[in-house]
Amino acid sequence: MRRSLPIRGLLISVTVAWLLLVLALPFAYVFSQAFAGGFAVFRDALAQPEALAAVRLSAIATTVALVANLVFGVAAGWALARTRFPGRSLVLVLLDLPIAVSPVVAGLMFVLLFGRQGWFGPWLEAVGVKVVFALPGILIATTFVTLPFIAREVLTVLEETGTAEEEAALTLGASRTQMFVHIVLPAIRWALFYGVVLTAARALGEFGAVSVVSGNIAGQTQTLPLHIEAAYIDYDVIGAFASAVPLTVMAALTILAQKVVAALSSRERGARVAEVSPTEGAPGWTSV
Amino acid sequence: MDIRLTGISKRFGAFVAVDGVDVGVRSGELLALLGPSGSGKTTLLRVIAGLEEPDAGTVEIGGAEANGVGVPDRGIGFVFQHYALFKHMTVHDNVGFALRMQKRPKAEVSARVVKLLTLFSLQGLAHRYPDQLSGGQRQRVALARALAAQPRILLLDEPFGALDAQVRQELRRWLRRLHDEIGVTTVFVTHDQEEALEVADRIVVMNKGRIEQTGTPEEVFARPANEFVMHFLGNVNVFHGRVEAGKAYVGEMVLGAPPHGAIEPAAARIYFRPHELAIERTSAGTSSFRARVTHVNPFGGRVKVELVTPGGETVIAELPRERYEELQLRRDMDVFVSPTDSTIFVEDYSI
Repeated sequence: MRRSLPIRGLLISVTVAWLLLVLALPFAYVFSQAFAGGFAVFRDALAQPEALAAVRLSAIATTVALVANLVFGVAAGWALARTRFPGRSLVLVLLDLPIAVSPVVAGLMFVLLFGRQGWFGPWLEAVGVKVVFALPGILIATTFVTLPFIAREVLTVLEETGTAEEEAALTLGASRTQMFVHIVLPAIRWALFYGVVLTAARALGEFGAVSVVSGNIAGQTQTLPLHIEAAYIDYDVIGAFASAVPLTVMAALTILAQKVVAALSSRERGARVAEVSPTEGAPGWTSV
Repeated sequence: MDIRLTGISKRFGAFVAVDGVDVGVRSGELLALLGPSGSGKTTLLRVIAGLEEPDAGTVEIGGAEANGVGVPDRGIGFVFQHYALFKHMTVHDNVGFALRMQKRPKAEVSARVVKLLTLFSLQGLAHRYPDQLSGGQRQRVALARALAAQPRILLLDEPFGALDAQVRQELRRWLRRLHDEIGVTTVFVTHDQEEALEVADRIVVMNKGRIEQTGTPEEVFARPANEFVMHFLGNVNVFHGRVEAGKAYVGEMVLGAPPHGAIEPAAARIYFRPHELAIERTSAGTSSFRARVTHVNPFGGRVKVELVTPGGETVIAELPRERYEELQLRRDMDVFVSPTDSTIFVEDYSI
């Protein structure tokens, strides 16, 4: 179906205008507000102890969530793709729960579990470990909301690639470890990379769940998004927008990484096909 | 290296893939597992490889029990139906994989790879990736890769299934030559009777998880043990009749059937392969039956003729080109068909 030129032009303009309005404009506004007072003011706003503490806490939470979900994601993705066990579909549903459930509810869940009145509350108090309103709670909440990303990516790729190459490696004398290193890892490497990027972006930006479990104590249990909100409520507009810059940059990097991965993995194929087709042509493909 | 399978059974859920099968593979022979899809032939091959653990039965390789021995330690080479080449590795790295896993020195691996690539006419393709190869080339890379570590046994799953007809023919003869050269005990799975008849030393015909017949290509083709084998190995014409005192009666026709000497008459099915039917312009009495030509396929060295009997049964005959020209067969011509040979199975009354 071919649309007439005016309608095409109209559709394109509407799309571009919409993207400008809801994406580009806010994006630009973050930067313009952050640097409204000049670079020095921006730097000072970020150098406040609360802001620095927030950056540090976000970095810790993101790193922990990444490592935990990398280990869990590869193991779970592998188990779900390569084994059939009773209750497997239930596990698949559970895996999506962190995406389906509201982050605030997730946070509340952990407060109810680990808080003073919670199931594990008395026991935790007895051994002297503080989970809620402290670092462990933030780590648990962040890991929870980012749980599915790596596992899902790995699962999808492993299901697509099938078992033939892995079985071939075994028949060629590879041990299980060798098979994993030489066959499975190369197959899932882009999926892993992409899963890591998604996890990092989500972990850095998480607000709801962390807001509930952390208690939102400035300089202590405030991650970057919490700090931004606090600064904004305090009428510290420049501080809020300055702190928003690292998050915005991270978002841009996520999209960039996604594009790079797509380009790299398609170029791997494209380069090979280009290498063969012009020189050999059709006969090279069919001759024995 | 000989292989002995005893009482092998394997089920997947409610589906019984292999049902108490015994197979012996002699050292150095080329054995075909032949059967329709779902007959259990691939499962049996995977049991030998260790890719499937049988629910019952023992696998012996070279006289030693192999149950519980891991896939990597069975000393096998396996060629998968769709080759399963490592997509992210070059031809060189694919072929050298087994030796690299054994941590052999680089120079040794390279030397062996070069030798294999030459043997398989793959020189010049060492740095290609699998998706830059033709089907036939992939097939040979898969074989070279499977043979690189000098396995005791070579297992092939539908090795020519994914190739077009002409390439298939060529590779078939080539596999036979290769086997004669290196002499490794080889088992291959196929659903193509022509392939099995042409390539194998012996054929195991399988159906529904059981073995129907084992024998040389001549034996299973000329002396099928039962009607399944008769049907599966080539085209057949089937007639209902009876046998009595060394004679078979099919409609008006009477044929000699010396093995069926019992005086008691018995219902029987009489099979004629297309090449066992001769066509005449004149009647040969009770040793022929009347039929009308409905279709002629005159392409190729042998001419295929489709006929229909007065009773409405379709018959397919195959005759040499010269004979066809002599007879000047045309559509709707009435002719007489006389069998030169037949295979008779007495119907089972016990049911």
